[in-house]
Amino acid sequence: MMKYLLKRLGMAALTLFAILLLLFIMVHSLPGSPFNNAEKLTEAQKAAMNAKYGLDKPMLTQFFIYFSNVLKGDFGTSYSFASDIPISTILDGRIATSFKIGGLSVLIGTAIGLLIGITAALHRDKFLDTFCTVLSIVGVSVPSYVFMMLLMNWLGVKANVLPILYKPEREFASSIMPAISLSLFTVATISRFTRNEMVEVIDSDYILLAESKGLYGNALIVRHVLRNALIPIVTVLAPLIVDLLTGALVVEKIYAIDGIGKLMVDAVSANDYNIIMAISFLYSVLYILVMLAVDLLYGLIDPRVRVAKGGN
Amino acid sequence: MKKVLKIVTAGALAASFAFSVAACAKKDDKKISIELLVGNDEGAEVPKIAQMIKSQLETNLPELEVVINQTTKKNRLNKIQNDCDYQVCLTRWGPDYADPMTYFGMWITGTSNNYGLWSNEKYDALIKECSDGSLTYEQRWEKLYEAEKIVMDEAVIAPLFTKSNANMIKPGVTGVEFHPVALNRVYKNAKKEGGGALNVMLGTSVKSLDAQVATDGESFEVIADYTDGLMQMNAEGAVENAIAESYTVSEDGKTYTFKIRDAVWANGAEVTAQDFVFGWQHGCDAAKEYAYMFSDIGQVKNADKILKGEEKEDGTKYTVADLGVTAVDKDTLKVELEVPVPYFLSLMYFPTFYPVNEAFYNQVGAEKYATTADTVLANGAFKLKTYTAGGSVVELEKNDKYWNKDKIALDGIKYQVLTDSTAALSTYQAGTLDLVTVSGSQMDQVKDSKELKITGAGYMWYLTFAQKEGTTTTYPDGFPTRSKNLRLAITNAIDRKAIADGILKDGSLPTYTACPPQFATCSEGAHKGEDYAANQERYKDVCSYDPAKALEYFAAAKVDLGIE
Repeated sequence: MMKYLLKRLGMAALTLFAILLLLFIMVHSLPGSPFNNAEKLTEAQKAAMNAKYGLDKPMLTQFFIYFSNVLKGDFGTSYSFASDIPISTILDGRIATSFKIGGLSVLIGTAIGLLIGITAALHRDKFLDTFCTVLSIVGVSVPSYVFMMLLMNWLGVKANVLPILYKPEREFASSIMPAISLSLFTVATISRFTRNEMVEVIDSDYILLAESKGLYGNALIVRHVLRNALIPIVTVLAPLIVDLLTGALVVEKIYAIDGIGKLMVDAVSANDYNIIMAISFLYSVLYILVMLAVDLLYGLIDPRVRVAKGGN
Repeated sequence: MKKVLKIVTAGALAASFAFSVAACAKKDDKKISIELLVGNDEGAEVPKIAQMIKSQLETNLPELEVVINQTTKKNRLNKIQNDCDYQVCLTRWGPDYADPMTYFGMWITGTSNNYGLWSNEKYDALIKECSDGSLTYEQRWEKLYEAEKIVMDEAVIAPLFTKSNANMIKPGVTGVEFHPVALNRVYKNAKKEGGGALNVMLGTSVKSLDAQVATDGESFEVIADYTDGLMQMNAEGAVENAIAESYTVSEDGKTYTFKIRDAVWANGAEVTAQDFVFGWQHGCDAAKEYAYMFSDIGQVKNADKILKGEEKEDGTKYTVADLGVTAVDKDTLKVELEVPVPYFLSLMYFPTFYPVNEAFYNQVGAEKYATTADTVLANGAFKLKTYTAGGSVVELEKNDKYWNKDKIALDGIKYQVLTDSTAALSTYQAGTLDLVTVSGSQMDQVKDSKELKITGAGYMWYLTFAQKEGTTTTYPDGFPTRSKNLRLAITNAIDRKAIADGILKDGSLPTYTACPPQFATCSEGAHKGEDYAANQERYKDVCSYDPAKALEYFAAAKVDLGIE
């Protein structure tokens, strides 16, 4: 187990280095300058500003300077989004905010998705099954922007139950609407997956055996059916979690949330190299970690996988 | 079933064949083709405007083909600034200061904003005459029209419209000022019924709290809430005294002496002339984007030499210590200019010229200065309470040490960054916001509301034409707009009013002059009080909506380009 873990972490480190190098080259090859007032700058000024930030050195030199700073924990400063402010300051509260709302959305999405999926599977081919299927199709088809505007209008403006915009002082209350909006896709995907996997598992031989041994009801579902259906669900959930934790642009824009999703889009439009690099790096780290966690989780859920790995 | 399918497929094939033949045939009618470069991230209405221009041009000039090329704003700016890598571009320019020269400076030979690579000796000479202080204010005002006539006769650009902003303001709120230059919104003189903080929105987050580093309107707005410069704007946009209690100007117009009034910073320290010296030195740095305000625009003595790193006679370099601004004593500031600048006083309300308290700056340190609410020092109507870099909320509270505090009625200002206009309007309707900017597409919803207020935003959208000779790899067929007649044909074939009424709907003005209206007002002489571009018909013989004349110009263009 330990060897496996170390091997994975080693590969992760190499992958991250390669990602950083590739990103750096791509981002710095984009046309245009990272500075704010580009149209009103004279040539002499652009030269002076490039010199100040070290942007006039050859690409690989710049990369090595950047990499050695990253190892020290310094991701540079922003050029135009928030002039000269260190990246760590900008990302500070934002990562926590995105994670909290994303986390809430994962919980809501998974819980409701599982509920709908299990209900549909257990009442297969009856009215409830069709109803749940329709619900998940609607969930996937409704444009998130429209759903958010409706939610904001009903719960926020008309009924005045929840705050319209995200407010740090009413953190939980103002996270609910964004989390629900974000979770729509998760609910739809998880419910469909759960239903299909469970149906397949219910039809299998070992469940028939379990039933004939006298197992039924909740014990059967939880101990045998769900556990077998869980592996594909976890596989699908992993990238979804990364997506949600790293913030969704539209949700953040509409509810005025200071998260990293919107920051990334703003940084790309402004060509703010350091922010783009830092957030992309964060995405990569997160993705690798989540994938690692999922692989380890397989071992927990499915003993067959555990044996195969341990048997090495 | 199969038979029906066969018939339908055959029919579809025949139809598409016929259509493509027709399209090819139509293509043969096109004698001249131009590419229109447009930004796709500058606002929802911009691509629509480009589409409308395309359809107007192709309808009024049937032999012209317009191909739209959409890209990001950064990319299109890169293309137009780097050796004319475009044919026609839809671009905009905002005034940096309240004088027509902010536009005319763009078309001097060789400047980086002369996107079309146009060059005219007579124009250059006229502009030089208007910039070297040899003319009186009134003579200069007249001369500028002569220069503008050259630009319009040659259709260097096709002006389109001057943007207006539509805002909704809650009934109990009065005294909010809108200006087209420097500080787009000034809230400090506002009153709110029932008291409390004024809740307003920002379209994007604040980029910097440092007055000498910031370059965007949002940052300027917030900085001006907590900082006062030598001068400020009154409700009409004219200059009036702020920290400067009074001033005198020398006979030759090159020396300004300001008397600093009794005022203190929020930490109790006095505001002195030295604060302005330090602030300007802090700003006169080649690596700061607005440093050109000291040299090219303000013509402060030695600023240009300092920024270019020139050497003096004794071999040492010019440094900020040589900048033409001195503290004669605690309350007297002397400013020396290279040449007289008619609009110099109006530059004094521009944040780049704000004071900085040196002791506070050194105490906080250059790295940390202006990064949080505690690392800026206020001498203005409000002081910063809450701020995070790039954050969505900025809060200010009343500054009880302000020299003019009795005039301030608000308890504070709370800014909320809202980039989505639908969400912004919902927030306004829910009562959480006292003021909101309305987008063109929302105008139909709100046009009958009593809370609607339309003000000039001061910047102008226009078409810039490439006038390069020869061909490039991107444009192997060359640049048709090098023909003056083609440019004149285009500018006379666009129905600006239709665009303003059909797409913008926010009171934006169709514009027919190279310098737009609503920002440059004459401050002395026979034309005092007049808007420079009040007469939009001044150049109507070369710029108006006249499809018949456009066709004539187009015929002449074909001759120029050797096509027939």
